[in-house]
Amino acid sequence: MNGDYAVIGAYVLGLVLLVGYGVRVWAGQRLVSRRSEGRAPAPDSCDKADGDLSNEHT
Amino acid sequence: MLSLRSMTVRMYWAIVVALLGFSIALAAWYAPVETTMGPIQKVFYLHLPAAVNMFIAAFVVFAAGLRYLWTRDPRWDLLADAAARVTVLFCSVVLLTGMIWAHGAWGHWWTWSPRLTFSLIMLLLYVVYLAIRPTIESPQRRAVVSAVYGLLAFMDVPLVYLSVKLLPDIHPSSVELEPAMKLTLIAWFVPISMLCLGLILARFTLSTMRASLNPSQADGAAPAWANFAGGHR
Repeated sequence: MNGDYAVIGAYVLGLVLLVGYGVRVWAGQRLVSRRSEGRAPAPDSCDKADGDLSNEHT
Repeated sequence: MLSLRSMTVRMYWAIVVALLGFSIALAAWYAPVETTMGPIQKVFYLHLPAAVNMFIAAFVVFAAGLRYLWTRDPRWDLLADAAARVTVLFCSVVLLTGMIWAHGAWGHWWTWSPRLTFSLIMLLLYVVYLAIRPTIESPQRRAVVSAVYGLLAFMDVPLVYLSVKLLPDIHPSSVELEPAMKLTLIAWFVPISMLCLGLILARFTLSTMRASLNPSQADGAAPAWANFAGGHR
């Protein structure tokens, strides 16, 4: 039974990491796309701590 | 109205999700429970494909770095950066799933065996790759340093692969699989490989979008084919 929980834990952990990164990149693309269309503030005009994904190195 | 490219990208991710669901079902209900290790052995179906794709992503860093040094085209630097992020991601998955498996099979989370040690070194090497990039102001200098570092970091990959064959190690070098297990493993390789490729291209697209929006930060113009995962351009 413990083995079952360990397997489920491993799969949840692994897939959450992989899919979560994909979602993060997708959100970054959306933000940059909105900026390019002028529908979101430019990186310098908003608080960096406020969910800003604009830093090239994040 | 979605463009053909956006629809293709969405279709790609829908196929990845569907194949992941199918693979999870195979691992849960089709693959037999291994007699020696019990259900914990099923971690293998995620662990091995993630490890192989970790090597592939690291090879992309190596090849893109080499290509950058040859052509000085900044897009290759952005591709290497994207692949390095995915290498770190897959390496983390490999180490975490491996630790859970080790705890169930060997009774301890970690042991300083050659393969585990070289895998940890590999994770640290690519974390450092990503850490040093923001510290270099000039895009050209950053790209050259990253490319050379990427070439050197790749030297750890054969050590990870060969350590288990050349040195005494608790980590198995090969495993005998029943046909149902083999089929499940092959089924897992498909979505994990597609995920790896898709994530590298999606991150590369994000970098090129940023570069085209702010050319002063990274002097790489977005190529026409670089629009993966979003379709928002």
